[in-house]
Amino acid sequence: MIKKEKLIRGIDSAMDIQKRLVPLLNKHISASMFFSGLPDKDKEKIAQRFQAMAIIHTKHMDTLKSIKEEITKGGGHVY
Amino acid sequence: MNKRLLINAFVLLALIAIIVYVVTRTVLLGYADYEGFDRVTAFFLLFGEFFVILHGIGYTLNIFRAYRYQKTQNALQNLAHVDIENEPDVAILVAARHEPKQILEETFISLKNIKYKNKEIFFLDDSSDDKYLREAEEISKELGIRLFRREIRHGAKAGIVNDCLKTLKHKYIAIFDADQNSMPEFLNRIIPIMEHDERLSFVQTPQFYTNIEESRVAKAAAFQQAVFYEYICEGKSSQDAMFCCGTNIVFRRQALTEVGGLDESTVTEDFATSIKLHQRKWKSLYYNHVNAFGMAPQNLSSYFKQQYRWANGTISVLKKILWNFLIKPFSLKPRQWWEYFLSGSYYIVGLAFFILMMFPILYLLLNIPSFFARPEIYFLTFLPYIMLSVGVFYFVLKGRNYTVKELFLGQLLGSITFSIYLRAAFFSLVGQKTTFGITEKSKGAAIPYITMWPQLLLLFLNYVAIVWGVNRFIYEREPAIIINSFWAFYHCMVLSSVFYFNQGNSVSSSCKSLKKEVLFEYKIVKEPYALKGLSQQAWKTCLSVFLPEKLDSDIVIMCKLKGKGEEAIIFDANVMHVNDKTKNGYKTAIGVVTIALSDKDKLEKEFLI
Repeated sequence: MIKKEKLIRGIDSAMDIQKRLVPLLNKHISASMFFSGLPDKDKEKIAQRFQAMAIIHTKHMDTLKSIKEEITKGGGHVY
Repeated sequence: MNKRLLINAFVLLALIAIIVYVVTRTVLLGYADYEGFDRVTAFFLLFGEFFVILHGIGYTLNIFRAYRYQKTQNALQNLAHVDIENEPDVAILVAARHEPKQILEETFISLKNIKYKNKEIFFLDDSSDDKYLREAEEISKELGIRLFRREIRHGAKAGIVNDCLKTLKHKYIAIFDADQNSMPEFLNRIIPIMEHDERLSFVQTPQFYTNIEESRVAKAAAFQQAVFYEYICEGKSSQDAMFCCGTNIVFRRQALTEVGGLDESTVTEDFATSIKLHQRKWKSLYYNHVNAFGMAPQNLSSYFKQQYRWANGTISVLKKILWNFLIKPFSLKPRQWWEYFLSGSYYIVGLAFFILMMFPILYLLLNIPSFFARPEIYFLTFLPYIMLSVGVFYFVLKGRNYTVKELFLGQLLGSITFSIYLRAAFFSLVGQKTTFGITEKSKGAAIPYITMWPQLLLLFLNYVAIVWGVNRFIYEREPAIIINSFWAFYHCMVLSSVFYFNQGNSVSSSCKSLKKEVLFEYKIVKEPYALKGLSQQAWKTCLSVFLPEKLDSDIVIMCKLKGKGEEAIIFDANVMHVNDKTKNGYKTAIGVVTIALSDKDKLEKEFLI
């Protein structure tokens, strides 16, 4: 059981962390590819995967946003 | 033949070649008919060579051990993936003093995102400046982390960690530097390893720099780190002599409190504390798995400061190691003494480099030392030694995806740091401690070449020696002249890399001179981007390109040069770009720098007339 305000705060916090952390870790992991010793072709493939993950990340953010909106509009106070 | 066998054979051959060279070199010294100054210099040269050889042997032995240690690493890897039912509580400590807000936010967000549930994050804020105090409060409030401060400052980072430690009851203490971003699994990987062995005092993981594309210094520093965190750390761990590196580490609180917390008597508190732990028969472990990412110093200035601090602290601990060895020789195992001696003496490499770079000059210009081995003996002993030892170094690291070019870059940077190591060693030996300072995270400015006079002087002398050497060879036909000229040439190439590394972003190195030479008119504006005809986003992008750190103040001071000259915008009292000085003073000044409102008075007082 969780109160509406607390749930919204939790979603906000999750969105905030996701918004800031994904680009940060993406930056680090992309840079570490330099040390991977992989051929350029493979590096490019992995970079594309990262790109795909970044898109998934934005979709995830959208989902969180819509959940938040639904909860905000909803009448119930306890979930 | 399998790869491991090949490497072992290669390493063994290198060791034999090293021993043959050492013996030949020593015997030749005995045969030489040296007198007076000649003898003294010959012994200095021998010291320089033997120091490098000693550390070469240490490195080669660590390669052997690291390969044997693979089984342990594999076992750790399995252990690291074990799920723990009742997670013991962990306190995560990040000590900071006057660190940029953006860097701290990134660190704390990454720590907050660690999957491990039973954790508590502490921000140990040691700032004294109002701006940083305020920012620390904002960060801790925004991210819901605990802010720890103290009344009386002592012992820098070690001091504040110890003060906080007294208030903690957690089983484990994880320590991160303010610029280290953890991966989500960090504690989930390390805690099972700690839980497996009750006598394990700490587990150290690598530091991994990812800002390698931002500057040449950062890239080279990253490869220097890589060399240390591969075979060297694995080898030390196999001998139960892995020492704490200050960040990306988990301590057992019981062990840390038993030795009285981190050692506050030195700036390399991590290294000094490790010895105390080992002397109390606690064990340590290195887990070679990157679990956190950080930032390398981006310019020579911050790199030199970092290296000075490390060298000064480490050599001060070396004195303790030697003293402890004399009074408590059985407090550590011989293999641990050996590893600590190697680690503690590493930064004397500055003296060894200096000697080795001076000797071709002395020989070519002054014929000192006068005796030189017969060329055939030199080539038969020196060439196998140098080729095999260098070959082993590059070959084994290539096996871990490092290229010769990148590793050489790291070695070049280390070589031109010789004067910093020398200074640090001298001040450490005379007992002068350095203050604990943070490594700047911005690219910043190139350093004035005058501050690198030792490198440039040596470069000039090597050049003169080559010219004189060619002249001598024409008349004397002595092979030793060619060999020494080759080394002088090589040293010229190495020392020339100061020009390659000393990059900056055109920041004026002297704002104060502006005060003397330039009169400003200024006004406070709230929307500088509008004045420049830019959108807010474009303005921010512009600032993120030019500024060393994130800009978050919305109040800026708009400055204008009085009289002729273009418009200048100045924030935070740093002029980002000042055009060349002309006969009439500064021609123009165009700057983009930040200022918080609280800094306005300081700016007016210090920089504006």
